[in-house]
Amino acid sequence: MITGSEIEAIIFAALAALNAERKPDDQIEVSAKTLLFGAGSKLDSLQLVSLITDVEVALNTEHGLEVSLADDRALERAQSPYITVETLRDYVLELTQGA
Amino acid sequence: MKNSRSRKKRTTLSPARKTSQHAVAHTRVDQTAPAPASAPIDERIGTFVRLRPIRVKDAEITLRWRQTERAALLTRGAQTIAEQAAWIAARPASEQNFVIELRSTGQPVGMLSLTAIDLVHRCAEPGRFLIGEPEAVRGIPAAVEAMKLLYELAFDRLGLIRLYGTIAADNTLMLKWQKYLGMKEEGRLRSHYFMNDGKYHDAVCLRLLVDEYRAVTLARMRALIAAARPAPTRSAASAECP
Repeated sequence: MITGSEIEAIIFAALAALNAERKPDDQIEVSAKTLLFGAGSKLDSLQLVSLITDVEVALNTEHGLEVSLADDRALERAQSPYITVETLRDYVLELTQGA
Repeated sequence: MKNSRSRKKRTTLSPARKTSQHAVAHTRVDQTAPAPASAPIDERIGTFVRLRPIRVKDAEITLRWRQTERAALLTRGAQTIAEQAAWIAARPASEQNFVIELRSTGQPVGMLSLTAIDLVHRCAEPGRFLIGEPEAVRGIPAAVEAMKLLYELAFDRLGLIRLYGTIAADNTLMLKWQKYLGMKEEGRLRSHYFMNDGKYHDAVCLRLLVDEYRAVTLARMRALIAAARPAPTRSAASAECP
């Protein structure tokens, strides 16, 4: 079963991939508290989708997990799962443990 | 569905109509089809953004956007404000061209279009999609919502069954984005585009059918738009609510 640390590492790798395409003075901080989306974040919606795509692909290729991060389940939550790395990690953990 | 917020101005398009296959197709509109592409353009209004018809006076700002680094992977277009103004004025009836504005401030932040609208074959090509003010849309699902509003125009209002288009093969972010939102790759055109970067690029052919839109795209778009909703309680992880 995948762990929170492994999920966090996947998200960090996705952020690193985004940073590779950003200017040196416009890098996204890579930490559990990093704001992903919403007020105050550095990502636009194209970059959020890129991150989500990379996380879903990594979950599948590295752990054999088929996870959909952007569907009605995300919509139904009281809090958006994409606020921070932490909230996304916890959401993925919830989805994978419930699968 | 016609938007209840009536437009304050109608966009005046060039009266010249191309005698193209698409223009001819519009004269043979199915009587049961929804509003034709040549009808006056309405605004499309979402939660975070509004699409309003592009106007000649948008020439300066849209030209500036097309000359930014972000536009390097767009096809080469007008090089002066006058050329851009002439291009805007000459838009045919088979297109609907929009400026994306933030609802909170009215600031124009980008543009996108629905072109080659064909009500006989019920297809069209979304494109010319560019966020020209990236700083203004950080943390705002402007791009997703703008595309959602365009898809609603295409599939719900115009009753189209297929959207298609090409994206430069090097535009990895946009390709990833479009594929995640349901577009499927149908082929590749070698050295198809001469881009703003002065080079030829392959073009990846994509399509989205109406059933794919309803089965996949809509749910993902809704989730991504809702991604920007503020946290219900203040915490160390949440920023100030807008």
